[in-house]
Amino acid sequence: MADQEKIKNQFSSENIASIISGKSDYPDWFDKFKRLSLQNLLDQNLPSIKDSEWESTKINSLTKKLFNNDFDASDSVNILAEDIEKDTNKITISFSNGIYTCSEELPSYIKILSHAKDKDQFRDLLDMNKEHASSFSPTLNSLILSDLLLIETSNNQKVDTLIHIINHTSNEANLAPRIEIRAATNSSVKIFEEVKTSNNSIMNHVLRLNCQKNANIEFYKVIDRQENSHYLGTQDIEASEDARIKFFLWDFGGDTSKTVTDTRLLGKKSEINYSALFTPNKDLHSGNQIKINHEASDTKSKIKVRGVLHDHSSGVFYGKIKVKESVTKTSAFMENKNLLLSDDASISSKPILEIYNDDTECSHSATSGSIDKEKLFYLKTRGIDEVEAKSFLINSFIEEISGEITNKKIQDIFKKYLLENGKS
Amino acid sequence: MNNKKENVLEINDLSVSTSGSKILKGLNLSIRKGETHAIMGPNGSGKSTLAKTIAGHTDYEINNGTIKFLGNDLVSIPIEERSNLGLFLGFQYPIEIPGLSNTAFLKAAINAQRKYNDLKDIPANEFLLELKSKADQLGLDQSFLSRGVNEGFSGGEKKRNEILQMLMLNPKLSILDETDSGLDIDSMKIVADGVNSTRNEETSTIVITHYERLLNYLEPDYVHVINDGRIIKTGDSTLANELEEKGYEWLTKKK
Amino acid sequence: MEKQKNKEINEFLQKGYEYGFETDIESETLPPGINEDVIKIISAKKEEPEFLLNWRLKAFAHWKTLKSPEWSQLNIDPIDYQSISYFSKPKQDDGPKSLDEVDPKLLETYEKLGIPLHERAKLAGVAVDAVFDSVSVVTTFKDKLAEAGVIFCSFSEAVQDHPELIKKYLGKVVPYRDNYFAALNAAVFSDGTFVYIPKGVRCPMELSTYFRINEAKTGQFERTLIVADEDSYVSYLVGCTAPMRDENQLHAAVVELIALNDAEIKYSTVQNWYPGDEKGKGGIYNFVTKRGDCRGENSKISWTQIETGSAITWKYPSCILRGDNSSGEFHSIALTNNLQQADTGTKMIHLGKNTKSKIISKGISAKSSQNTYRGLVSMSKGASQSRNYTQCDSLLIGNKSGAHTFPSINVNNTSSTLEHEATTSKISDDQLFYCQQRGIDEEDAIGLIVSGFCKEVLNELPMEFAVEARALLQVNLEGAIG
Repeated sequence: MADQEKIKNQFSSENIASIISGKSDYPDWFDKFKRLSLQNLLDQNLPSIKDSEWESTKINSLTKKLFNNDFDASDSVNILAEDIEKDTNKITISFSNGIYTCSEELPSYIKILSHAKDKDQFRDLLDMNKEHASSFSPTLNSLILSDLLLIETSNNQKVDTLIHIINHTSNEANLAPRIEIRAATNSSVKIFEEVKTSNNSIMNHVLRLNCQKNANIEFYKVIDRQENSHYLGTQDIEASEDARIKFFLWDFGGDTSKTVTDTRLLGKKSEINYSALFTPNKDLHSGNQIKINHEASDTKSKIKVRGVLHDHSSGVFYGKIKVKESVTKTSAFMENKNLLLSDDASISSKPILEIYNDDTECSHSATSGSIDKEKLFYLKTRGIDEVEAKSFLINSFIEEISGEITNKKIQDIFKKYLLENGKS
Repeated sequence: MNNKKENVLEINDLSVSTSGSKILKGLNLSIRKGETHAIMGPNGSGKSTLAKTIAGHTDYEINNGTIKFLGNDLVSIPIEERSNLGLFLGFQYPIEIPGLSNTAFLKAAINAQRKYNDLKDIPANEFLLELKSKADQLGLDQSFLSRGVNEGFSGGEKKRNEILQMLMLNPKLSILDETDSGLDIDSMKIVADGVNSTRNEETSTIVITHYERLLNYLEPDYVHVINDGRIIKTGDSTLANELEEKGYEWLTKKK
Repeated sequence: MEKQKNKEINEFLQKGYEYGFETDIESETLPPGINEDVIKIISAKKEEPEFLLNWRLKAFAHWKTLKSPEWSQLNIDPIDYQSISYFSKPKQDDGPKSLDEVDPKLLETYEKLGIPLHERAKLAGVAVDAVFDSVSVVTTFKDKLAEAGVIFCSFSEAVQDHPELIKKYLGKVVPYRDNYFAALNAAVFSDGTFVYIPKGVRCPMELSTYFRINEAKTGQFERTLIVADEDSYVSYLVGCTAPMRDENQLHAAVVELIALNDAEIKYSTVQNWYPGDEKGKGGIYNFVTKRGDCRGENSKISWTQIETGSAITWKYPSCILRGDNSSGEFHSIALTNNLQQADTGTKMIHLGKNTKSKIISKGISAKSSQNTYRGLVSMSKGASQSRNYTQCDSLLIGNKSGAHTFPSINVNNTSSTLEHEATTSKISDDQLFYCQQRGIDEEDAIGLIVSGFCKEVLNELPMEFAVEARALLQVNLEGAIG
């Protein structure tokens, strides 16, 4: 492809090379790591709209923007858009243009690792991501990466404080937040992450969750609406024996907004509950890919994803449940429901089952439709006008997922987002 | 003098375990032709285990002892053959088999029994007539005939369906595992009447239950109380009344 | 205990293939290999008009530019296309005028397969177009159908007698460019069936065709074309058996259905090709492209299939719902055993307004087999008010088999509704115990449960195939109740 070559040439131009890997304060090992990442990137086929994996995205525009964007915006001003309420039960960490900061003193279980000062830990954590060597988004993340956020509990530690992470970028920036969450045996932790980006920016996010024996992780994430911006998220989840993971994602759409989650249920009796909402409007895209591998017996998974597509937006859902041959007594449930609110909106859904063992209970379902006429009629006969009735029905559709969030604080934040994005 | 009725079921020193746990610990029980025995006991005492073991459920392992049905040692006889010989188990939680109509299921069961006894398949109209009349007897709607086995049935309908199958198969020994649980008074009366209609000198019944109510209708010859895997007391139907008043602790507390 | 049960289940699945035997008949077979000359010979032997030879040659030229396809879930040895003979005709000089003229050995073959032509023909009034290897041997009841104006004949005959119809419709639903096997088939197809139902005619009887592959290394490339003109109806059945062989035999057929305004076509298949032995040796490769074009308004096409044979199955009977208010249906049971692999499903493409589609797929996989459902439902922007309902269920028997579901859903308008459900389950111990306690032995119990699992699809089959379907799934259906 002529285009691919052109783009790759831009990547290998001295200009880019020096920005990415030639910084003077990069220690040798980090410099080497960056060069390796660059090489990995050049060895791959860059994604294009012709790949089914990138359907409905604006990936071509993303790959072109990469060069015009600032690869290293860490020198620019730190922006924290919201005024964060002081809350004793919440600690806020912000990621702004490549750097993680926190206005308070960090508790023992949160560490911001710098490539300059925390070499050993940093290296150990990077090494583990080898399997993504051939994947565009995580490789790009490695290329741009600066700081690393580590949330690590100790055995039996039950963290009550809500860990709040806000990701923010400035215009025309390429950024790579990277978060490692490790919940030790019998511990528990709750995290809420917000992704906010500015004009023409590209965010490549890598998140890894590791849940040890009998540990609990609750992770909530919201990706704010981003016109002209791109968000690519790669999430890896590993669960050991008796681990419980609850993951909730709400994506409001972007020029490209794609989250790919890979879960491995490695220990017996581990469980994951994954719920997601995507609600793009205008001509935005929202892509949600979730894979769950049942690699141990007695494991459970539940996936519930709902989409509400307005205007010319497009949604893509890809869900895969895989049960290995030697694994028994698994239960897997996947549901994707979509509301298409205009003739110009579109949804592509692929709920997939790959089952190699008969001692399993698996089911999946997918539906697509518009607002239920009967329900609309019922509301109108009670005197409610069409606009309000439709709004009510759309919200109740969303509420069936968002209503499952038990944490009031988080519920409130989500409601705010819904209100904000509802206005546009 | 030799008025001894034959033993239909003879259980000697039976010990049974499942998933590594010992449930029955040296249980003894004899049932003769024409008799109705009730078995009562607290939850976890081994009532269902006993029922399923006699029927041959593979989850249960016989560690010691013997079970003889009509003189046959059951241990080597496969489940369906025990049924063909005349053993019927009314399930505590009847199983749903979607897509397989009640009619087809019953027909297959009856023909299997006939085949075992060197008889030809039952003629279609004879089968249907008998089925419809017994369904009426049990207050089951005609539409159930074409529905899947227990598919979408209410709890009461499921239990009545068990008795329907019993009526169609004419067993020599019926084991009814908590057939009355979840039934309202009317359903229970229908079930009891159905069971009573089959009682004669040739048939025997084991009724597993918690409640005196069903036993008031069935009037068992013997009542056994099972606890911790053994029968700890045997009496007549008045024993059931005593239990209703005093509860199980009256017996189980005694050592 | 678990081992005992698995052993019993395995024995149940060990039913030998009853239909394995050969017929000893001289065949006029071309030497193996494919090139332009072979194609010209095939066309010349059949005395085809020029337009058809040209079409074949264009298809062949296109095929040469293509690469053999790969599928993620199938494990296939590469096929050597040059080692297959593309034409085999049992020695007959001009076709027989009546059944008396048919080689008695052939008729005996049909007897063994359970297709007593004359008896069936007399009792059931079913017309049978029997294909032995690549050429139609006998076609009965053409006259009766001719009275109704129905054309039901071999493809070769249709080319001679109704070239204008062939020219009008051939390749319009599955063009040779469609896929690798469609191109191959267009180049070397030898025969098949042609059906044309004129306006307003309801075909007076079920039509059917039986196929059989006999010669080693003879790929079979049938071409079927069914056209239902306005307001007509036809129901068509296909059943296949084949003898035991050591080499894999290729079967790459193309079936095109066209339904005009208010017309309906029902296409049913019971497929029992040799599946290969327990070690996976031999067995038919079945790669079929089947597509129905609901061209006219209110038209309807339904596909019903019971697949129990083949070593490898690759087929996606599909419907293009072009005309407004048209509807497509797909009912399928796919049973795989031993080392069989099936990758099958359907595509429902909604183009017209108010179109409907329904998909019911039941997959049963036992032993070490792999059973994959691949479906596509797409609703274009213009397909307003359209509806789809899909249910695909998999039943796994044993812990070495695999069941996979790959549905793909694309909706591009707001007024359409789509519902898709899939479950994977196994025959539960409780269900087996329940049946056994009622005196039904394990083998029969499995048969009953499987039949219950497949009930919705079995109900779609035309009566004639009820017997063969039952035999194939080893189950007793309740026929006595109304």
